[in-house]
Amino acid sequence: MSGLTAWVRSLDNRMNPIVVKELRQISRGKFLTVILIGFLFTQLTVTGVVTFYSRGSANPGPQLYLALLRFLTGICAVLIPAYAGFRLAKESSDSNKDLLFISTLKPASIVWGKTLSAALLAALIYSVSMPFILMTYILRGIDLPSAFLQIGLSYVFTLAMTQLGIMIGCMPASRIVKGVAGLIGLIIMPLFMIGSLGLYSFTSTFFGTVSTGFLTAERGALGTLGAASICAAFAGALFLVSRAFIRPPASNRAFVPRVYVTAVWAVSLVVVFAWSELTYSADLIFGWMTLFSYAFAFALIFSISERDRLGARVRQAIPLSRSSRAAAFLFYSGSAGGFIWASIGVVMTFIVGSVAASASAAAVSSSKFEEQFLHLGFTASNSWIAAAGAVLLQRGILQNRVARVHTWLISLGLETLIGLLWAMYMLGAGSRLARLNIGGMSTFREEPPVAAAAVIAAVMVSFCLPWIIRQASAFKPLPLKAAETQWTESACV
Amino acid sequence: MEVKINHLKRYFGQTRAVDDISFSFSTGEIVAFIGSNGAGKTTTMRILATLDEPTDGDVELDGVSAVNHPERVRKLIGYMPDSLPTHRDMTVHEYLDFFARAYGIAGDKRAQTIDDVQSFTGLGDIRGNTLHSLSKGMKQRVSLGRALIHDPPVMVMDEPASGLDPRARIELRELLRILADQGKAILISSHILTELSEICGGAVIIEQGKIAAAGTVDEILSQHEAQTVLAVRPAGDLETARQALMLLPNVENVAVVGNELEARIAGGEEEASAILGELMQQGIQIAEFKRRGGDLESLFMQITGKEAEGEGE
Repeated sequence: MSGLTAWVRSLDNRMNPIVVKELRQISRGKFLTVILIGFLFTQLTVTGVVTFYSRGSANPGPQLYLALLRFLTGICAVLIPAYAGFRLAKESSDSNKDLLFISTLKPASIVWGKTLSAALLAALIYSVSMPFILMTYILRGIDLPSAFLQIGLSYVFTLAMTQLGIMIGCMPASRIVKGVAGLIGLIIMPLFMIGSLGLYSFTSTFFGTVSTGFLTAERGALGTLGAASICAAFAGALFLVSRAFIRPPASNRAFVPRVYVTAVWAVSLVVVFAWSELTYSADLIFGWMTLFSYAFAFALIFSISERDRLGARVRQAIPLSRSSRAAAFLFYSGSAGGFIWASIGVVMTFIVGSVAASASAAAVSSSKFEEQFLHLGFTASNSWIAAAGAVLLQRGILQNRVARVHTWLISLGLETLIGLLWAMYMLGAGSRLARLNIGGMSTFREEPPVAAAAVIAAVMVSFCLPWIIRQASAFKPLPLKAAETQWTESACV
Repeated sequence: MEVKINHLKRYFGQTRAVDDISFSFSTGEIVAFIGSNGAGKTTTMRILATLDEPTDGDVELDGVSAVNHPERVRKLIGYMPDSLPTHRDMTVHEYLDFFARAYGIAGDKRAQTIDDVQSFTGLGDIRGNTLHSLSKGMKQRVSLGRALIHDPPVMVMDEPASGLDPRARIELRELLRILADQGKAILISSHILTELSEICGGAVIIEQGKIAAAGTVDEILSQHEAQTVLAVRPAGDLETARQALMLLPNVENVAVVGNELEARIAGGEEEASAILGELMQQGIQIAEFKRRGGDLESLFMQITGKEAEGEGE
């Protein structure tokens, strides 16, 4: 008994304080009761309705199962991220920051605690729904291992979405901006995760059947593994960005996210290349190029909100040798370094992706390459224009009106404006106007003015060169302490 | 433990909430941080507590920078904000338990620490009450308990007495004295200056983001030639008494207010006593007298009044 008591005490001491607090509050609040009762009621209704309409069917099980799974995934992937994000946004708002942020809890513990408590809440809701979902087995037509796998992947997807909610909650922005970012994120992230790697067909298959031994099919197993890996990679990136947001501004907070993204970029390239060799299809490589082009374009927009002048804490960790220092400039916190890192990321994604597609066993038509370059080149150019324009505006005429940390808002605004201007330009392209499918995306993909966008981007970036050079010149270790430090994360905390 | 605020600046756009302020305080000292609303007190205290980052300048605790190493500073500071934030659904005990865990206090030590803090702040009887059901005074106690949970050597307290009834204020004053005796360095802001002057050894007066005066209370009073007002109600003719008073040394100005004379005099207790003695010698009968000023409150009014006049010019 004493051994058990000691073990319980040890467990109690090891528990993340945020988890303890969150679970206490969740169990005491009305949210959980309302959600659980709501779920039970809705599942009863769905079961009743689907059973009624499929009463003539030989196998009503799969229909009911898929209806319940879609309902569970749809609701949980919205509700739990919104709940976790809202609570965190409330606690971390600048005007009323919770005192837990000035305790000795590490930022990673705070984010991990929020993630874990949301995961437990999700697990509770999933476990409440499980009896309803698995009861469909008695209606026949259900492959139980496949059903468990699907529910598992649905849970992983919910967790990835929750990490997005937590990241938005940690963002240094007003509640309105966080709310808008949350709404956009809820729509874009699933499309981004599923669409970017050509997983549409897998997803529709995944959520379209459960009765044909889905798990045993090679496509189903590998697809599931791939989808789970993408969710995990996204969740990892979002976790690190959330941690970076709540780390002290003086710390080297960009370092770990940039290293992580670069590492995932390299590892995933190897995986997609191997996949293309196995399947004789370069689709996944092109999907990879799209995914990372967008990821680096996002990084381009957000990195310019970082500080221009590094404090003593980061400078103490700058390495002495020139080559290490050059690499450190790209990976350490700093707006210009982030701008260059993201720019290199975009360019390297183009180059390496093209080389990989050419070198793969898959036959790739030149028109496919051209289409990819036009689309991604146009997107990247617009991001460069928006990011460089935002730098020039914030560091210039808006210096006293918009805080540096909000430069990304200017950049997003410019990105939207540029998109509208290009749309107007293309729609007003004289003789072609009559033939255009107005509002159709095909219009833009056919002939985006890539050359014009690239030239404007080059000009805008050249205007930013003094800003970049100034920061690169100032990127030097502190005279006395630099020799004691090395370029490691431990030296950067 | 020495706390140094070095050329601290905090700008919000064009507004200079804190504009290049420097001062220091150390172990065992209670320093009053005085200023009118919007003077920059809370901003300074939030920077000290690492809740906010300065535009420029730094805060050092025994040489540890709050800007560069806020994590290390957080172990050393107990911050008590002007109001208890969120966590409505938690009980007093759960709230303290959460922060004890957050500060890495584990096992039996955590239980003992929470008991000690509840006992010190008088929260033992309400440990099971939820935070939203507490009165303002009790919330302030919980906030003080939370700030003390990791036994920090430095306490930063923003308006701890606001909303407290007179009895709670006296109790808070006693708690502060005990904490100072335990060797804690305490920076405290309050609007209730008469109470601060009783417990504070030092004071920093901030106005429009700049320091108007800083030092020990006595130093500030002597540096700023704090004016004293002597109110006298003569038993006889008011005009005769006024003329006699005006001719006396150290009397700068005499005004008639109702049936009283208010003389603004240079100096403090001694000078006031000499003036009263002189009046008696001249045969002026005094029915009642009062001395006002020479304390933090009048000094604050005097300094901030001058600042306002300066602005007007």
